[in-house]
Amino acid sequence: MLKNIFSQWYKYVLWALLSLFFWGWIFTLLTDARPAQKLVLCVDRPELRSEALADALSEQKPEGIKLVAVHSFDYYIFDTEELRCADLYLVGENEAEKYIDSFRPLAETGFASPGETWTHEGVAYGWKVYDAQTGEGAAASYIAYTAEGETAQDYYLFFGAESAHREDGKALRLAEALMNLS
Amino acid sequence: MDSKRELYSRQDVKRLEKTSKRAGLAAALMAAATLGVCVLLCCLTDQDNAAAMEKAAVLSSILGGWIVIYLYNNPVKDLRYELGHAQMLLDGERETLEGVLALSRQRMRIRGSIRFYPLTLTDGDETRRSKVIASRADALRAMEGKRLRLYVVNGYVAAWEEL
Repeated sequence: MLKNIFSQWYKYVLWALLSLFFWGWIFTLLTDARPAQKLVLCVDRPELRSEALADALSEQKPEGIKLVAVHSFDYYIFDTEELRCADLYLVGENEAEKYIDSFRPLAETGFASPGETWTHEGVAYGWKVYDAQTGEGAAASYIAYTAEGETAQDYYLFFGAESAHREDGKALRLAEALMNLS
Repeated sequence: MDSKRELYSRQDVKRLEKTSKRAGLAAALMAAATLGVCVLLCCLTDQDNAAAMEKAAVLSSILGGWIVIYLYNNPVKDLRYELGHAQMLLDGERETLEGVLALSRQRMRIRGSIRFYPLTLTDGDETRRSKVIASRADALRAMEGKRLRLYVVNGYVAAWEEL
Protein backbone atom coordinates (compact mmCIF):
# COMPACT_ATOMS: atom_id res chain seq x y z
CA MET A 1 0.00 0.00 0.00
CA LEU A 2 2.71 2.53 1.01
CA LYS A 3 4.72 1.60 -2.07
CA ASN A 4 1.73 2.39 -4.26
CA ILE A 5 1.24 5.73 -2.52
CA PHE A 6 4.90 6.73 -2.79
CA SER A 7 5.07 5.77 -6.45
CA GLN A 8 2.29 8.27 -7.18
CA TRP A 9 3.33 10.93 -4.67
CA TYR A 10 3.02 13.76 -7.20
CA LYS A 11 -0.74 13.19 -7.50
CA TYR A 12 -1.17 13.56 -3.73
CA VAL A 13 1.00 16.70 -3.61
CA LEU A 14 -0.80 18.23 -6.59
CA TRP A 15 -4.18 17.55 -5.00
CA ALA A 16 -3.09 19.15 -1.70
CA LEU A 17 -1.94 22.30 -3.54
CA LEU A 18 -5.12 22.47 -5.62
CA SER A 19 -7.26 22.12 -2.48
CA LEU A 20 -5.34 24.87 -0.76
CA PHE A 21 -5.72 27.35 -3.62
CA PHE A 22 -9.27 26.42 -4.57
CA TRP A 23 -10.78 26.65 -1.07
CA GLY A 24 -8.72 29.74 -0.31
CA TRP A 25 -10.29 31.39 -3.35
CA ILE A 26 -13.81 30.17 -2.45
CA PHE A 27 -13.55 31.44 1.13
CA THR A 28 -12.18 34.79 -0.06
CA LEU A 29 -15.29 35.12 -2.24
CA LEU A 30 -17.55 33.98 0.62
CA THR A 31 -16.20 36.36 3.21
CA ASP A 32 -15.76 39.35 0.97
CA ALA A 33 -18.36 42.09 1.31
CA ARG A 34 -19.72 44.73 -1.08
CA PRO A 35 -17.72 47.98 -1.05
CA ALA A 36 -20.51 49.73 0.89
CA GLN A 37 -20.24 47.09 3.63
CA LYS A 38 -16.51 46.98 4.03
CA LEU A 39 -13.67 49.26 4.99
CA VAL A 40 -10.25 48.69 3.48
CA LEU A 41 -6.94 49.98 4.80
CA CYS A 42 -3.89 49.63 2.55
CA VAL A 43 -0.53 49.82 4.23
CA ASP A 44 2.64 50.47 2.28
CA ARG A 45 4.69 48.23 4.56
CA PRO A 46 5.32 44.54 3.93
CA GLU A 47 5.96 43.79 7.62
CA LEU A 48 2.39 43.91 8.80
CA ARG A 49 0.18 41.79 11.05
CA SER A 50 -2.77 42.42 8.77
CA GLU A 51 -5.24 39.93 10.26
CA ALA A 52 -4.56 41.00 13.84
CA LEU A 53 -4.88 44.68 12.88
CA ALA A 54 -8.12 43.99 10.99
CA ASP A 55 -9.48 42.16 14.06
CA ALA A 56 -8.54 45.06 16.33
CA LEU A 57 -10.15 47.60 13.99
CA SER A 58 -13.23 45.38 13.60
CA GLU A 59 -13.95 45.83 17.30
CA GLN A 60 -14.64 49.49 16.58
CA LYS A 61 -16.21 49.14 13.17
CA PRO A 62 -19.08 51.51 12.36
CA GLU A 63 -22.62 50.23 12.06
CA GLY A 64 -23.45 48.70 8.68
CA ILE A 65 -19.89 47.55 8.10
CA LYS A 66 -19.49 43.77 7.80
CA LEU A 67 -15.81 43.55 7.07
CA VAL A 68 -12.67 45.47 7.89
CA ALA A 69 -9.78 44.42 5.68
CA VAL A 70 -6.13 45.38 6.05
CA HIS A 71 -3.69 44.61 3.26
CA SER A 72 -0.17 45.57 2.36
CA PHE A 73 0.34 47.08 -1.09
CA ASP A 74 1.89 43.77 -2.20
CA TYR A 75 -1.54 42.17 -1.88
CA TYR A 76 -2.72 44.20 -4.89
CA ILE A 77 0.11 43.26 -7.17
CA PHE A 78 -2.36 41.81 -9.72
CA ASP A 79 -5.27 44.16 -9.04
CA THR A 80 -4.34 47.83 -8.99
CA GLU A 81 -8.00 48.81 -9.61
CA GLU A 82 -9.00 47.45 -6.21
CA LEU A 83 -6.06 49.26 -4.65
CA ARG A 84 -7.39 52.54 -6.08
CA CYS A 85 -10.75 51.94 -4.37
CA ALA A 86 -9.39 51.49 -0.84
CA ASP A 87 -10.81 53.70 1.92
CA LEU A 88 -7.59 54.51 3.73
CA TYR A 89 -3.92 54.41 2.83
CA LEU A 90 -0.93 54.41 5.11
CA VAL A 91 2.04 55.57 3.04
CA GLY A 92 5.57 56.84 3.74
CA GLU A 93 6.28 60.47 2.96
CA ASN A 94 8.83 59.53 0.27
CA GLU A 95 6.31 57.49 -1.72
CA ALA A 96 3.17 59.55 -1.12
CA GLU A 97 3.53 61.71 -4.22
CA LYS A 98 3.41 58.63 -6.47
CA TYR A 99 -0.14 57.90 -5.30
CA ILE A 100 -1.44 61.47 -5.12
CA ASP A 101 -4.27 60.74 -7.61
CA SER A 102 -5.68 58.11 -5.22
CA PHE A 103 -5.82 60.51 -2.25
CA ARG A 104 -8.51 62.92 -1.20
CA PRO A 105 -7.73 66.29 0.40
CA LEU A 106 -8.25 66.19 4.15
CA ALA A 107 -10.52 69.23 3.96
CA GLU A 108 -13.08 67.15 1.98
CA THR A 109 -13.17 64.40 4.57
CA GLY A 110 -14.58 66.49 7.38
CA PHE A 111 -11.49 65.64 9.33
CA ALA A 112 -9.80 68.30 11.40
CA SER A 113 -6.22 67.15 11.77
CA PRO A 114 -4.83 67.74 15.22
CA GLY A 115 -1.24 67.36 14.09
CA GLU A 116 1.19 67.50 11.23
CA THR A 117 -0.05 66.92 7.72
CA TRP A 118 1.48 65.95 4.39
CA THR A 119 0.75 68.62 1.83
CA HIS A 120 0.96 68.72 -1.92
CA GLU A 121 0.79 72.05 -3.78
CA GLY A 122 -0.52 73.69 -0.63
CA VAL A 123 -3.31 71.16 -0.05
CA ALA A 124 -3.22 68.89 3.00
CA TYR A 125 -3.76 65.23 2.12
CA GLY A 126 -2.13 63.11 4.80
CA TRP A 127 -2.38 62.86 8.54
CA LYS A 128 0.88 61.99 10.25
CA VAL A 129 0.65 58.65 12.05
CA TYR A 130 4.29 57.74 12.51
CA ASP A 131 7.16 59.97 13.48
CA ALA A 132 10.52 58.64 12.33
CA GLN A 133 12.47 60.79 14.83
CA THR A 134 10.69 59.63 17.96
CA GLY A 135 9.81 56.17 16.58
CA GLU A 136 6.27 56.57 17.85
CA GLY A 137 3.26 55.76 15.75
CA ALA A 138 -0.30 54.51 15.65
CA ALA A 139 -0.83 50.74 15.68
CA ALA A 140 2.91 50.28 16.03
CA SER A 141 2.43 46.82 17.51
CA TYR A 142 0.82 45.74 14.22
CA ILE A 143 2.92 47.62 11.68
CA ALA A 144 6.71 47.59 11.50
CA TYR A 145 7.31 51.14 10.25
CA THR A 146 11.03 50.61 9.84
CA ALA A 147 13.25 47.66 9.11
CA GLU A 148 16.95 47.05 9.53
CA GLY A 149 18.98 48.69 6.78
CA GLU A 150 16.18 51.07 5.83
CA THR A 151 16.17 54.82 6.30
CA ALA A 152 13.30 55.66 8.62
CA GLN A 153 10.63 57.98 7.25
CA ASP A 154 7.42 59.52 8.53
CA TYR A 155 4.18 57.78 7.63
CA TYR A 156 0.87 59.47 6.84
CA LEU A 157 -2.71 58.32 6.68
CA PHE A 158 -4.60 59.26 3.50
CA PHE A 159 -8.28 59.03 2.59
CA GLY A 160 -9.12 57.27 -0.68
CA ALA A 161 -10.41 59.41 -3.55
CA GLU A 162 -12.44 56.48 -4.91
CA SER A 163 -13.60 55.21 -1.51
CA ALA A 164 -17.22 54.03 -1.22
CA HIS A 165 -17.34 55.85 2.14
CA ARG A 166 -16.56 59.39 1.03
CA GLU A 167 -19.89 60.75 2.24
CA ASP A 168 -20.95 58.55 5.19
CA GLY A 169 -17.97 59.29 7.46
CA LYS A 170 -17.19 55.62 8.03
CA ALA A 171 -13.67 55.90 6.63
CA LEU A 172 -13.11 58.72 9.10
CA ARG A 173 -14.30 56.48 11.95
CA LEU A 174 -11.83 53.81 10.86
CA ALA A 175 -9.05 56.41 10.77
CA GLU A 176 -9.86 57.45 14.32
CA ALA A 177 -9.95 53.82 15.45
CA LEU A 178 -6.51 53.29 13.89
CA MET A 179 -5.09 56.33 15.68
CA ASN A 180 -6.30 54.96 19.01
CA LEU A 181 -4.41 51.68 18.59
CA SER A 182 -1.00 51.43 20.16
CA MET B 1 -9.85 -36.92 -16.52
CA ASP B 2 -9.60 -33.39 -17.91
CA SER B 3 -6.68 -31.75 -16.10
CA LYS B 4 -7.00 -28.44 -17.98
CA ARG B 5 -7.20 -25.51 -15.57
CA GLU B 6 -8.67 -22.19 -16.71
CA LEU B 7 -7.38 -18.99 -15.13
CA TYR B 8 -10.79 -17.32 -15.39
CA SER B 9 -14.34 -18.59 -15.75
CA ARG B 10 -17.41 -16.59 -16.83
CA GLN B 11 -18.41 -16.53 -13.16
CA ASP B 12 -15.07 -14.95 -12.29
CA VAL B 13 -15.76 -12.22 -14.84
CA LYS B 14 -19.18 -11.53 -13.32
CA ARG B 15 -17.62 -11.40 -9.86
CA LEU B 16 -14.94 -9.01 -11.11
CA GLU B 17 -17.57 -6.80 -12.73
CA LYS B 18 -19.47 -6.61 -9.46
CA THR B 19 -16.37 -5.88 -7.36
CA SER B 20 -15.13 -3.32 -9.86
CA LYS B 21 -18.47 -1.49 -9.79
CA ARG B 22 -18.49 -1.53 -5.98
CA ALA B 23 -14.96 -0.12 -5.78
CA GLY B 24 -15.86 2.61 -8.31
CA LEU B 25 -18.98 3.43 -6.32
CA ALA B 26 -16.97 3.63 -3.07
CA ALA B 27 -14.56 6.12 -4.69
CA ALA B 28 -17.47 8.17 -6.09
CA LEU B 29 -19.24 8.17 -2.72
CA MET B 30 -16.07 9.28 -0.97
CA ALA B 31 -15.66 12.13 -3.47
CA ALA B 32 -19.30 13.16 -3.02
CA ALA B 33 -19.01 13.01 0.79
CA THR B 34 -15.86 15.16 0.72
CA LEU B 35 -17.52 17.74 -1.51
CA GLY B 36 -20.62 17.63 0.70
CA VAL B 37 -18.59 18.34 3.85
CA CYS B 38 -16.80 21.25 2.17
CA VAL B 39 -20.06 22.74 0.87
CA LEU B 40 -21.61 22.38 4.33
CA LEU B 41 -18.63 24.19 5.86
CA CYS B 42 -19.08 26.99 3.29
CA CYS B 43 -22.77 27.28 4.25
CA LEU B 44 -21.88 27.56 7.94
CA THR B 45 -19.24 30.24 7.34
CA ASP B 46 -19.57 33.78 8.61
CA GLN B 47 -17.07 36.60 9.14
CA ASP B 48 -16.17 35.41 12.65
CA ASN B 49 -15.48 31.73 11.93
CA ALA B 50 -14.22 32.06 8.35
CA ALA B 51 -10.56 31.26 9.13
CA ALA B 52 -11.43 28.09 11.09
CA MET B 53 -13.95 26.97 8.46
CA GLU B 54 -11.46 27.50 5.66
CA LYS B 55 -8.86 25.38 7.47
CA ALA B 56 -11.46 22.64 8.06
CA ALA B 57 -12.55 22.70 4.39
CA VAL B 58 -8.96 22.55 3.11
CA LEU B 59 -8.16 19.68 5.49
CA SER B 60 -11.33 17.74 4.55
CA SER B 61 -10.69 18.31 0.87
CA ILE B 62 -7.07 17.14 1.08
CA LEU B 63 -7.80 14.02 3.16
CA GLY B 64 -10.94 13.06 1.21
CA GLY B 65 -9.16 13.66 -2.09
CA TRP B 66 -6.20 11.52 -1.03
CA ILE B 67 -8.54 8.63 -0.17
CA VAL B 68 -10.28 9.00 -3.55
CA ILE B 69 -6.93 9.08 -5.38
CA TYR B 70 -5.82 5.96 -3.49
CA LEU B 71 -9.08 4.10 -4.17
CA TYR B 72 -9.06 5.06 -7.82
CA ASN B 73 -5.41 4.28 -8.46
CA ASN B 74 -5.40 0.94 -6.72
CA PRO B 75 -8.56 -1.15 -6.28
CA VAL B 76 -10.64 0.56 -8.97
CA LYS B 77 -8.08 0.72 -11.77
CA ASP B 78 -6.57 -2.69 -10.97
CA LEU B 79 -9.98 -4.36 -10.97
CA ARG B 80 -10.86 -2.75 -14.29
CA TYR B 81 -7.57 -3.86 -15.83
CA GLU B 82 -8.10 -7.40 -14.52
CA LEU B 83 -11.67 -7.49 -15.81
CA GLY B 84 -10.57 -6.44 -19.31
CA HIS B 85 -7.78 -8.99 -19.18
CA ALA B 86 -10.12 -11.83 -18.11
CA GLN B 87 -12.59 -10.99 -20.89
CA MET B 88 -9.75 -10.96 -23.40
CA LEU B 89 -8.55 -14.39 -22.20
CA LEU B 90 -12.03 -15.91 -22.44
CA ASP B 91 -12.94 -14.44 -25.83
CA GLY B 92 -9.56 -14.39 -27.60
CA GLU B 93 -8.11 -16.91 -29.99
CA ARG B 94 -5.88 -19.42 -28.22
CA GLU B 95 -2.60 -20.98 -29.21
CA THR B 96 -0.86 -23.78 -27.35
CA LEU B 97 2.70 -23.95 -26.08
CA GLU B 98 4.39 -26.94 -24.49
CA GLY B 99 7.51 -27.27 -22.41
CA VAL B 100 9.06 -27.14 -18.96
CA LEU B 101 7.89 -24.12 -17.01
CA ALA B 102 10.16 -21.46 -15.49
CA LEU B 103 8.31 -18.56 -13.88
CA SER B 104 10.13 -15.31 -13.12
CA ARG B 105 10.11 -13.90 -9.58
CA GLN B 106 10.10 -10.36 -10.88
CA ARG B 107 6.64 -8.87 -11.15
CA MET B 108 6.24 -6.40 -13.98
CA ARG B 109 3.64 -3.96 -15.14
CA ILE B 110 2.79 -2.43 -18.47
CA ARG B 111 1.69 1.16 -17.94
CA GLY B 112 -2.10 1.33 -17.87
CA SER B 113 -2.49 -2.45 -17.72
CA ILE B 114 -2.20 -5.49 -15.43
CA ARG B 115 0.74 -6.66 -13.30
CA PHE B 116 2.22 -9.92 -14.58
CA TYR B 117 5.09 -12.40 -14.23
CA PRO B 118 7.07 -13.36 -17.34
CA LEU B 119 7.54 -17.10 -17.89
CA THR B 120 9.38 -19.40 -20.27
CA LEU B 121 8.58 -22.88 -21.56
CA THR B 122 11.60 -24.91 -22.61
CA ASP B 123 11.08 -27.79 -25.01
CA GLY B 124 14.46 -29.24 -25.96
CA ASP B 125 16.41 -26.43 -27.57
CA GLU B 126 13.35 -24.32 -28.11
CA THR B 127 12.34 -21.68 -25.55
CA ARG B 128 8.96 -19.93 -25.77
CA ARG B 129 8.02 -16.87 -23.76
CA SER B 130 4.68 -15.93 -22.25
CA LYS B 131 3.19 -13.99 -19.33
CA VAL B 132 0.72 -14.73 -16.56
CA ILE B 133 -1.34 -12.19 -14.63
CA ALA B 134 0.20 -11.70 -11.16
CA SER B 135 -3.03 -12.13 -9.21
CA ARG B 136 -3.49 -15.69 -10.62
CA ALA B 137 0.13 -16.81 -10.80
CA ASP B 138 0.23 -18.85 -7.57
CA ALA B 139 -1.15 -22.06 -9.13
CA LEU B 140 1.44 -21.89 -11.91
CA ARG B 141 4.20 -21.15 -9.41
CA ALA B 142 3.55 -24.58 -7.85
CA MET B 143 4.13 -26.18 -11.28
CA GLU B 144 7.61 -24.77 -11.84
CA GLY B 145 10.00 -27.31 -13.40
CA LYS B 146 7.14 -29.50 -14.67
CA ARG B 147 6.16 -30.09 -18.25
CA LEU B 148 2.97 -28.18 -19.14
CA ARG B 149 0.78 -27.28 -22.03
CA LEU B 150 -0.22 -23.61 -21.92
CA TYR B 151 -3.19 -22.07 -23.72
CA VAL B 152 -2.16 -18.55 -24.55
CA VAL B 153 -4.13 -15.53 -25.77
CA ASN B 154 -2.16 -12.54 -27.05
CA GLY B 155 0.89 -13.75 -25.15
CA TYR B 156 -0.92 -14.23 -21.81
CA VAL B 157 -1.72 -17.57 -20.18
CA ALA B 158 -5.45 -18.33 -20.29
CA ALA B 159 -5.33 -21.99 -19.19
CA TRP B 160 -2.83 -24.77 -18.56
CA GLU B 161 -2.57 -28.48 -18.07
CA GLU B 162 0.14 -30.77 -16.78
CA LEU B 163 1.49 -33.27 -19.29
